[in-house]
Amino acid sequence: MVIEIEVRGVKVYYKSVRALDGVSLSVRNGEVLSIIGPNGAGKSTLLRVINGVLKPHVGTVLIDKTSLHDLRPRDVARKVGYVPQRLRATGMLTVYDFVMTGRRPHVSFAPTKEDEEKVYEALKVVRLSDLADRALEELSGGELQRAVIARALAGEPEVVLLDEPTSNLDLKYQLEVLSLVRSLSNRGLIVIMALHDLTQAYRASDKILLLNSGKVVAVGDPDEVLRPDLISKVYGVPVIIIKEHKIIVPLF
Amino acid sequence: MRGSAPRKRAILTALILLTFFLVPLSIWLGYYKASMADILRVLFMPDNSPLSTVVWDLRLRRILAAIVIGAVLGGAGAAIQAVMRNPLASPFTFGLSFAASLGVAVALLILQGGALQRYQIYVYNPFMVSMCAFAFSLVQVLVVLLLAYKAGLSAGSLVLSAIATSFAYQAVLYLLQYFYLNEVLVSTVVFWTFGDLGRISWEELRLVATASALLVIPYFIYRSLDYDLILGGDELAKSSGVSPERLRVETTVLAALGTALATSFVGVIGFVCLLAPHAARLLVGGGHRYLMPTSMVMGSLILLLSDTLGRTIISPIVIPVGIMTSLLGVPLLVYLLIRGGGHGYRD
Repeated sequence: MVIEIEVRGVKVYYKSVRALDGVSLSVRNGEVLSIIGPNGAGKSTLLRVINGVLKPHVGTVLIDKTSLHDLRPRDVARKVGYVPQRLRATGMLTVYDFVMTGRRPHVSFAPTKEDEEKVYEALKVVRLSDLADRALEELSGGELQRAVIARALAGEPEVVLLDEPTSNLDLKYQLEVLSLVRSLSNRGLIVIMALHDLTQAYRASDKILLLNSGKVVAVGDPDEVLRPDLISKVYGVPVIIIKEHKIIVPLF
Repeated sequence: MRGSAPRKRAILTALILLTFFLVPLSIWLGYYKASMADILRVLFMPDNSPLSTVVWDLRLRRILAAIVIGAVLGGAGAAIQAVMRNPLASPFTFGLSFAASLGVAVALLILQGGALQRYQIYVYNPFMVSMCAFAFSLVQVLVVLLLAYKAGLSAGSLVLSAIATSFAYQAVLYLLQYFYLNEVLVSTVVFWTFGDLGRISWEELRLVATASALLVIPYFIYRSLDYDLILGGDELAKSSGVSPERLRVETTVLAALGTALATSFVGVIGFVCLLAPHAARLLVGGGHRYLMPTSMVMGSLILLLSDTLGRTIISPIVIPVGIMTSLLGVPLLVYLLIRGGGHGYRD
């Protein structure tokens, strides 16, 4: 079954600043879309719009032809799972407790047996089953990021949004998280993530959206979007792109 | 059921049983001595004997008050710590004790004006004083919420507006003391701030118990999963369809309602709100599904133990429970401080 998420002509203003200025995109299930662009380009704002947390001033977000902003927050949360950029673990929650919070949109009074099963399934996907009773504070950076992804999965979403999932991680954990992201799309989910690292975006995505000052500069196949002239113009730094290895090197 | 859930459930059950076991023991301990058999007899078949009066009117009432108020304060502490994401937050962070003290001062002033011909000490009308303390506490919470609302209802804005208004209450209280209150009234206000469970009447106890059982405690239990959620941040809560602002306001109002009711009848017993959740977290961890009920039982246990100790260590003199909880609680909090990560919140 094909599920599609569509962003149509979204505009968001913060006071007089245009954070997003007519952004449109569409992604299907099984695809990974990366949003790239310099700081302040509007990557996080776009994620918040798709997340249903921020209502755009103009434009709309459609999942399966249904407008996201007509749904109750709880119903949006059932469709869209969110992985924040940096989680500050606090309060001695165990990994299990934390992942259970991802079931919130499905729980009416207290978590049931089924919710428990879903939590353990999600933990299995991110290979954290053995650490279910560990406190979040005791996890390594990579383990914590996997726990946050498991939390999003536990809600059985159709779309997973990740905000800079590899920032603050060592190289090994960065690769681990990116391969996990790929496995999510292989499971038939729509994956949309904001990324800083252009090489990572090149390698991990099926589609790339390049944003600058709230406007779409280019969107489409990585090889089409990641062109030296476009990147240099947007980031203000000349780059060399080594296509056969999918590497982007800034020149300085 | 997998993982640590069975262990946590066992701990909670054990604590509940311990509380029940402590009730007859606590009735038995005290200045008026009687055998356990006699105590159990009048407990189930009250008569007109002095023992029956001691058991029912002197001891059982304050024991039940300890259990009910302890549960409310323990639960309110855990809930407020979660929505504020701060291990040192409690309902008293909102300046309830200052507002309540001012309410007492105002009540005493009004009463004194009404019955000048008598000695002040006889003018003392406990219910009026309680109601004034309660009204001032509620006004305080509303003002704090209103100010915080203007600043976006974040955890930080709530704390800042509470601190600001607390100073205002303190200043007005000092002003009243400076200009209007005589020595007897000032010492009455001070005495009132020493929380004492013996002060509560059956009617007042019924009121606190009803509000707690129907409103405050069920709400805290119902929101357990949301308290776990909001620990991860406001953004995370929103992404799961839960409004962090609404959760924070409702929790604050209900915690303040329970605490203000308790405070206005028995005085300030602040420490339990901090102590009970921390002790509970050491036993069952941070997940509110078990932390919330365990904090409540822990609150009951701490109040019951402190009050019983306060009644018996230099009997017949009764040390107010507010002083006892502070004395007993400081070592535990210092232990938690030194243990570091044990309090469960990091900067």
